[in-house]
Amino acid sequence: MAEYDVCIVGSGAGGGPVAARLAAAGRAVVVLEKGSWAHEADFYKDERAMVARRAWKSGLVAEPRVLEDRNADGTWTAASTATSERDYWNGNLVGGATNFMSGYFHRLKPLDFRLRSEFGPVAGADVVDWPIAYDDLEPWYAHVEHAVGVSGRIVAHPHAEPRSTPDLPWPPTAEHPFAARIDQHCGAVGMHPFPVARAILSRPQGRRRACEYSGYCGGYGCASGAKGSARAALLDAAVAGGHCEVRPHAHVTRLLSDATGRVTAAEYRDGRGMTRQVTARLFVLAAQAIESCRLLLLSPGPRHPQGLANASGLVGRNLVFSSAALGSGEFDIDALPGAEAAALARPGPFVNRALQDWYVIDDPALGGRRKGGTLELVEPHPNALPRANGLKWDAHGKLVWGVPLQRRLVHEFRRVRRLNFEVFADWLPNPDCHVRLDPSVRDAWGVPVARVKLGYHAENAPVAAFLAARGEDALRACGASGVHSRIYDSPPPNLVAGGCRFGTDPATSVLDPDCRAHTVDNLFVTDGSFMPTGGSVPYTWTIYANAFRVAERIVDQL
Amino acid sequence: MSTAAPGPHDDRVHALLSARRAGCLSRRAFLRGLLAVAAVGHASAPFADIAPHAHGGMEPARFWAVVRAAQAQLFPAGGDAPGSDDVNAAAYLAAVLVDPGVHADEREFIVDGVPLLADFTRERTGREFDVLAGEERETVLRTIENSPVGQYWLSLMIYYVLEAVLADPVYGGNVDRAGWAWLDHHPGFPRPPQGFHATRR
Ligand SMILES: Cc1cc2nc3c(=O)[nH]c(=O)nc-3n(C[C@H](O)[C@H](O)[C@H](O)COP(=O)(O)OP(=O)(O)OC[C@H]3O[C@@H](n4cnc5c(N)ncnc54)[C@H](O)[C@@H]3O)c2cc1C
Repeated sequence: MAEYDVCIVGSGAGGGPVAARLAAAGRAVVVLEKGSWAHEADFYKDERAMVARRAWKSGLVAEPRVLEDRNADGTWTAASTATSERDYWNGNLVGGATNFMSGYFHRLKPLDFRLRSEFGPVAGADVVDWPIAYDDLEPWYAHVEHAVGVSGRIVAHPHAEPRSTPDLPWPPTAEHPFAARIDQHCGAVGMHPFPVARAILSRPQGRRRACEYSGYCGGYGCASGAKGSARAALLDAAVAGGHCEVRPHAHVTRLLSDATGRVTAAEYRDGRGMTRQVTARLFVLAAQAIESCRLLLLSPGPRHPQGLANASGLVGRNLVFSSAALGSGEFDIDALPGAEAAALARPGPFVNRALQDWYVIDDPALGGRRKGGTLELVEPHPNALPRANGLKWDAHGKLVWGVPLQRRLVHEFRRVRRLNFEVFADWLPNPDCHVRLDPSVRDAWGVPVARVKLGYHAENAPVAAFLAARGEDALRACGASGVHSRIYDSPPPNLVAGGCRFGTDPATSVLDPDCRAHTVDNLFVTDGSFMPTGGSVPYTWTIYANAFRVAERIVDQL
Repeated sequence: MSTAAPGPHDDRVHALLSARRAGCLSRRAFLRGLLAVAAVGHASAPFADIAPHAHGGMEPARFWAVVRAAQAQLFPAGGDAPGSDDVNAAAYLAAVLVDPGVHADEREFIVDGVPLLADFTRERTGREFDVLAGEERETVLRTIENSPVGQYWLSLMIYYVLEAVLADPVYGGNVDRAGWAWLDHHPGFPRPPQGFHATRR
């Protein structure tokens, strides 16, 4: 007899909805989470702890990864994050990275589910249609709006996706003075700025308070409970309901399977370093894309010699990312209208505007009709340390200190206000972007670590550059000066998906359309790894929605 | 810290820098490598064979006098700006030097740079760094900056002064929120309680 009906590995956006739904259905659920269990009262706006000292992230030395980057000459350099100190952890605690997300929420669009049919093949990229359509996921996007708590205001625009309900359940969060500026000036030049939905409560709900506008959202745990983390929105209630147990400090090291190929137990290391096991009828993997792939590869069994669910050899393949470029423009505070300048004195309210006028680009210079992306207009993060520290270098790589440094600080903090943008565009799945087990590097407990190859397709760059140029146009239209932008040369690690793509054909996909492993009856994967393509938006809303969709399938079959 | 002119050690320094950039060299190997290069050809450098030592082999009082003087040069009081002393930058750095949340190698590198600065100043000027006038200190620090080792050390010293200016006062700097008040910076809430110390490596 198994101890639990369902054992879930990882407690973030992929794990939370499954735990919540199954516990609500009265199933016995256990969630294994390698991090600790922090609560609202543990979250301070402590920049030093969060930004400079990596609070609530796995150790870089104890738990390294190996990252492979392509050099200019086409060769590859592999380095352990223990030595490079590149941070590829996003938040390791109950609720996962959703504790620290900014909660900019976008749905994918109908065409994102059929990129291959819509735009044709791209040489050197493995673009495929999804095995489900937007209409299959739409009810679950709508469900997330209530279950997680999504605020905002729906406004028609040329690329708006269809909805089954007219508006979002929570009204928008308080607006930054630049929102009106964007509506007016971008609108005047023919762009269609629209309010961005946020996974942030603008009014309280149950135990969760409304947003308190401290200004420190992304990268910080939410002290009010307004942010729709998997913990605050889903797990706390699931645990209170009595059917869900969350075990923090439970680091899963492999899944054990029997001669029939079914998973029988999750093996984990507890907080005291003891090896333990949990048995369940069904297992759900949601450890974030890279770690989920690693765990499958670490779990060969009698029927799975190449690793669990890996008969196709595709586990870890087709990893994708999302964010592509950043830009910024500045406003002289003395030149702004008095009321606007006064309102800008304090951080807190959100700009919450985006442009999707180029979600599809039809430009001869870019070779005709092709997939574009999203321009998110955002207030700069109020973090002071990275901003101040960046000012110590001049344009020639010399250090600036003393009075000149102090003058720069005064200018940056007191004289200007910035408006930034972030570009989200499709990351073309390609053969050089994947997760494997590193042949030699191990974590502090002797377990092989993930080796992530970060190859990007040459066609990503022109789209990112095109969108960044439009972002610069938008900032200038709003009256910004000193506008500049930069295309990322390596993917930001916080938006990662793919690696276990779903599909109908076991030869070309790891999971079936319900996100069950093709070759393992009682194993589901519900974090972002299922996504064959990432869409041109941040994708946590999609991960949440899909996890609820899959949870319903699991309820049906248990 | 080596001298201003590009010297025979530059190749080694460049090799170290690019290996570090490619992530092939641990912070330890990188910083040790830099210090080893700095020590060569520097008669009085105590780092031919480097052993970590709480104050880089210096009298603690001397060590801190040099640190405070360097910090004051990097972040002077004046106008409405709080100076390094106003934000307790030396005491803040002392806490950083025993903070397990800061890489041990970085802490040792900071410590080991202090006697190098002290010795270099003595060789150049015949006096202690902390008794020099502002302009003389500036000349010494700018000379040091010409070597990658010195530049790296100075960049860390500046960074930790900036932490002392801008981190939450619970960590001992930013006295009476002087840094925040000066820059009109709003820290967000809730703030960490007194005695709080979150750290992770
Ligand atoms: C600073 C920041 C800002 C962001 N902003 C946005 C945004 O504005 N909009 C948006 O859509 N998305 C945003 N994101 C991304 C969002 O957080 C992720 O998409 C989402 O959390 C991914 O869900 P997940 O379930 O895949 O992983 P996670 O939420 O990270 O959950 C995975 C969990 O599994 C645990 N785990 C891993 N390995 C093991 C193991 N072996 N055993 C047990 N447990 C394990 C981890 O500790 C973690 O808690 C942001 C992320 C960050 C870090």
